[in-house]
Amino acid sequence: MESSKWDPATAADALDRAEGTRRALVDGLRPPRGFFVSLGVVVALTIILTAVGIARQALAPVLLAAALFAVVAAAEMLWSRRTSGVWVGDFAREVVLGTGTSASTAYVLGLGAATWAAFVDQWWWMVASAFVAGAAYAVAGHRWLRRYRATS
Amino acid sequence: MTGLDERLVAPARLQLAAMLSPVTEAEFGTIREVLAVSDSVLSKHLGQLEAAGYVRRRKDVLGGRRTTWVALTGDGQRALAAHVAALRELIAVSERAPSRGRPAGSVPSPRPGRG
Repeated sequence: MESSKWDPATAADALDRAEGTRRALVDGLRPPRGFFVSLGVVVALTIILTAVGIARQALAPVLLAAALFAVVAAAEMLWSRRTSGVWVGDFAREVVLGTGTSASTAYVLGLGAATWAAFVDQWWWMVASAFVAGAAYAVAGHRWLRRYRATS
Repeated sequence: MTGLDERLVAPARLQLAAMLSPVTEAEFGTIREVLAVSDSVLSKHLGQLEAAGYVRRRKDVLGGRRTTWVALTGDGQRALAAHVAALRELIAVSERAPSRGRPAGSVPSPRPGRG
């Protein structure tokens, strides 16, 4: 390698250009419009169906909730991957599957509150709990994406 | 200069490796747009990095058309980190000698692959 090729200015320029393209790709990771809203809604519906299934001791709503979440989560991931042309495994886990602390806590608390409400026939409380949890789940995913963009 | 990887010396290949480092994989057309190069140029660089074991390619169908997804391998991540460290060292040496070079400015920090 020619040492003259790698004077400090050339090295700094190469690193700056590499940083620029990396930043451009990371910034391109943008979920499609409506992604977080649909994610929050499906999480809320999943909580409602699961809570009803537990309160009524019926398996069908719980299985339906699992199937609904699986189908929508898969569609969301494919949709996002297709739109952005980039795939980040952590995005699928943290945002869609909700493995982060905030999202999983929101889900558990929402399911607990909705299940209690279903047991005591407080249906409005059940729906409200589920949708608050769904919103928190979506917000947690949105915040994770912002952190990812800022730190990558 | 020790530590510089000759397979990453070309600016386009360094850019390619750097942009793949924070993602699990990226689609060929997306990479081409970000790098602003032609299909053939990108294919050539990818072929060289693939031959070195730094990237892997897989075919897929996206939106009804065939496409290629590209990922940086573990060897590629390590080579990129070593190459960037060598470049930084080169810049740092010049900064210790005030009359030479320029401030490093914004430089990338290779991160472990997301995935």
